[in-house]
Amino acid sequence: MKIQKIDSVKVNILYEYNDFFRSTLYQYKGCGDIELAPIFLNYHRAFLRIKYYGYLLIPAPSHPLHDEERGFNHIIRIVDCLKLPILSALEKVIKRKQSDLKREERMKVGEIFRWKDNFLIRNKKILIVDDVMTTGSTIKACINLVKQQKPKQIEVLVLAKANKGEEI
Amino acid sequence: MLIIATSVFFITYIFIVMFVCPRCGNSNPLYIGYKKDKPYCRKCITFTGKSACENKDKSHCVILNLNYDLSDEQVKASNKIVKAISSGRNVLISAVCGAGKTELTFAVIKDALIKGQQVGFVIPRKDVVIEIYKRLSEVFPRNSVIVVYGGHNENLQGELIVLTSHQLYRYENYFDLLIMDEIDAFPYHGDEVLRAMFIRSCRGNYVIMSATLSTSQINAFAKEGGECISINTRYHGFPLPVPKIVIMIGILKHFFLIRKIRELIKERKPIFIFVPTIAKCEDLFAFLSKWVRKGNYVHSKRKNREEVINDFRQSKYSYLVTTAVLERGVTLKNLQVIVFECDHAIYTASALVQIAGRVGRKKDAPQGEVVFLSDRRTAAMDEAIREIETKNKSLSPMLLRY
Repeated sequence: MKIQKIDSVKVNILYEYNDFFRSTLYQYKGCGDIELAPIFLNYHRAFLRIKYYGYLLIPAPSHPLHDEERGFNHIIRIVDCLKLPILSALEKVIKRKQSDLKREERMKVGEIFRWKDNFLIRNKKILIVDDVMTTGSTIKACINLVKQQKPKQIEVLVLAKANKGEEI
Repeated sequence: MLIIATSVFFITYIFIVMFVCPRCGNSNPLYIGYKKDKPYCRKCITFTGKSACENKDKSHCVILNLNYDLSDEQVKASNKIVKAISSGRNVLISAVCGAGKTELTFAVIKDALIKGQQVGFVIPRKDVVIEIYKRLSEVFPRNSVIVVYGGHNENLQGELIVLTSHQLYRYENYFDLLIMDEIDAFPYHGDEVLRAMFIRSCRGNYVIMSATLSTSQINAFAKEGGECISINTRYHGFPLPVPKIVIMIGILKHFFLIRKIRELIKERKPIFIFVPTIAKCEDLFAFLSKWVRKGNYVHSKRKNREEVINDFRQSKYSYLVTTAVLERGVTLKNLQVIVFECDHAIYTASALVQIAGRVGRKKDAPQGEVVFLSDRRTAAMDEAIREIETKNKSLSPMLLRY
């Protein structure tokens, strides 16, 4: 596991972004093979359950229409096995994929995320989860939105970090 | 405990056995998933994309533009194929490397195109698909020949479609005549999903062919009522080059390789050096490039490999280090082949026969050198040599006439 810091928030990276990870994630997320969901955290499950005991989990937002196409929300399915309370407090306003965009356009991602008003997380410990981090702009936007709610602590968990050239 | 386990197994089996995938015929419970309590097939789930519509505009006007003549044996064989297909039988062609398998099918393709039928030409390897596409579009200049492979699939309709076996899922019940080359090549060989896709996309008859088929495969095909055609001579009538085995230990192999390459470069002959893995390919080239200039390397992960191969054809490079990507379907004049670390498990007897078949495919340079360079002798190497020798023996009475 690698640790990196974005805006003084710890980001835990579980896997190397290689061909195998890419094709497995594509089969799971792109083709909708739901049976693959438990395998992503299988090896780290016990460790993560101890480490993030007492945290509230916020998945990185995906557009509801994307979820409908696929039939499920991919991140919620993966983190189900951690048995943490899940708050889908962030939502995506515009339907578009981060991986279709260029680097400059990706940076503007903060504008298309929104905090749902009815969630209060003051003085709670928050864990943000995403699948692949490339430029880190999605994560940054999420962190900014969560920070405005004044939680006690924020941590980030991503499955893999891709380098600039190679994305899904 | 055992009773519970068996009863659980039976209950799941009864539930799952009801579902058979309509695309690939998979009914294995290990490969069936459930999404919102609906079963789906996990074996062919990665085959997603748009499928082709029926092609309406057909010209019926065919020109077969061949600037060379077929040999007597080829003409005989291709007449046989046309007869078998028109009587509704499937055909299997087993011919040695360099027998001109592709040319054999031109007559059938022409026949089908005149009738306005949909023709497909399938090969498992992408590089070979591109190669065959170039040849076919030259041979049939009046017809729309298109090529479909991973990453090149905008246009899906044409009279003659050249495609990889992975793209067959786009064409359900589509082809009146489907020709498949190199049926024993990876990834098609032994893959049930691709086999099911092949059967599913063919509504007429099919022709399958390869250079390295076992007798049991041929017998099984004949039992199903198919026509088997085997050709044991190359189109130019010369025997297949018999590989030489060179046993060297450790670093000595590298020095032998350098000496051999320099020798062959002096004779101005292009060289392929086959290596078993991608990592070894890069390592060996890094080593060789310090000793011998003008070389390059190719493997399946290299992005601009078509360019490199094209440059090699125009003899910008004198040697090419390659993995198994170039094992099939490459024709180059005066090519010489060295197989490095030939004792690796990926080199089965049939793969070695294919590699040896790269050499001496042109009429004006029918001989060449094949060297198996390794630490030890393996059963696969011996079997490959035996196979080539038996094929050459069956040809020797013909050679006496020359």
